[in-house]
Amino acid sequence: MIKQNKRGQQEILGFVLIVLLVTIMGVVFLSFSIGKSRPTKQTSAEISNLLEASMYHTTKCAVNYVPQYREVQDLIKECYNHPEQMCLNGQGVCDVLKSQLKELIDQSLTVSDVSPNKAYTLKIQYNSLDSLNETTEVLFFEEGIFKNCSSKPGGSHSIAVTLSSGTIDTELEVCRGEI
Amino acid sequence: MKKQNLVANYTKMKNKKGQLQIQEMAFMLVAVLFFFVLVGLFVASIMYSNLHEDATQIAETRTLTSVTNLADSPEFSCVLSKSNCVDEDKLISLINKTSYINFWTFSSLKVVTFSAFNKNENEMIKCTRANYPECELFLVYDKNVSNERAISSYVALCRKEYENGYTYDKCELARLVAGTELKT
Repeated sequence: MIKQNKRGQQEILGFVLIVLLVTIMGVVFLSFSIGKSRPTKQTSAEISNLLEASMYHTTKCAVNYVPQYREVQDLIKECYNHPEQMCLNGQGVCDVLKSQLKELIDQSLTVSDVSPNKAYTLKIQYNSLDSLNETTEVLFFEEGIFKNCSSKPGGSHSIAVTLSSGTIDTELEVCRGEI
Repeated sequence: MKKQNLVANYTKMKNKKGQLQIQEMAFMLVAVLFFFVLVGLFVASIMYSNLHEDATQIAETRTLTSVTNLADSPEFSCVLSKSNCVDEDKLISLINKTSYINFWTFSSLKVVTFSAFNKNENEMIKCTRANYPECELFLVYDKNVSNERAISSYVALCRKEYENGYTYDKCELARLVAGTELKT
């Protein structure tokens, strides 16, 4: 009788162990699947379109004669190739590029605590196609603080550099949060 | 006789114990089944919520893509080899053309210039042939539907300008806003 009871207890213990094992496996699997469904960085068509359209924006900077005003993408190339170049109105091309791009992004995204856009970063850098390591920063600026972002949509735009085998890549990342 | 009774009682007791064990097992199986059903429901609810989120995101991307494609359509596209660019001179000729109201599937179509990005619609200067290009809102058409959802996409808005005896292309950032009627 005692032997039979012991056997029953052993069976129950084994069964409880199996149930525990299956539960732990389930929890681990669930945490993995939930974790995968929230990517930290997303490519957004809206941000990519904003960057692409900004590249065509005509600035007030003419380098050779008026009215040969440069577009933002021309100024990016000019700022990389000849950073000391001046516009005919006396401003540096890199200064005009920074102020113009900042105005475009600020007006389009409206970063504030009461809007869905909490912060953004804009990075323009030259990437050589010859060697993987050669990157040169052309321009970087940010607005707001990347904190408690519910999503981080971003976009990029590439400009081919004719003088060297490389591209100038513009990356914009936005921090979106709850209002 | 006594021995026979004892054997019968012992067999009965053994049967009862067996039945009890089967009952325990059945209860346990029901409990396990209930547990797995609960886990299944939990997983299904998470999967369904993700699916719903994905569906909304896909629908928004599709509308955004159709708005982007609209900028590249012959009615709007720039003569210059620029993608995602709207020709402002074409745009002004589209205003007050009633034949285009049923051409696109959108319930309303407008272009907001960069200077009016943070303004309310009633504060914007509406574009007419008289005030062009000193205006802020190109209202191509509006069907005035009650339940409308607007999707916007950033475009480059370009026009020809004349200065110092030269013509040049002047482009600015703008927002192409398309409204779709929500069916209830």
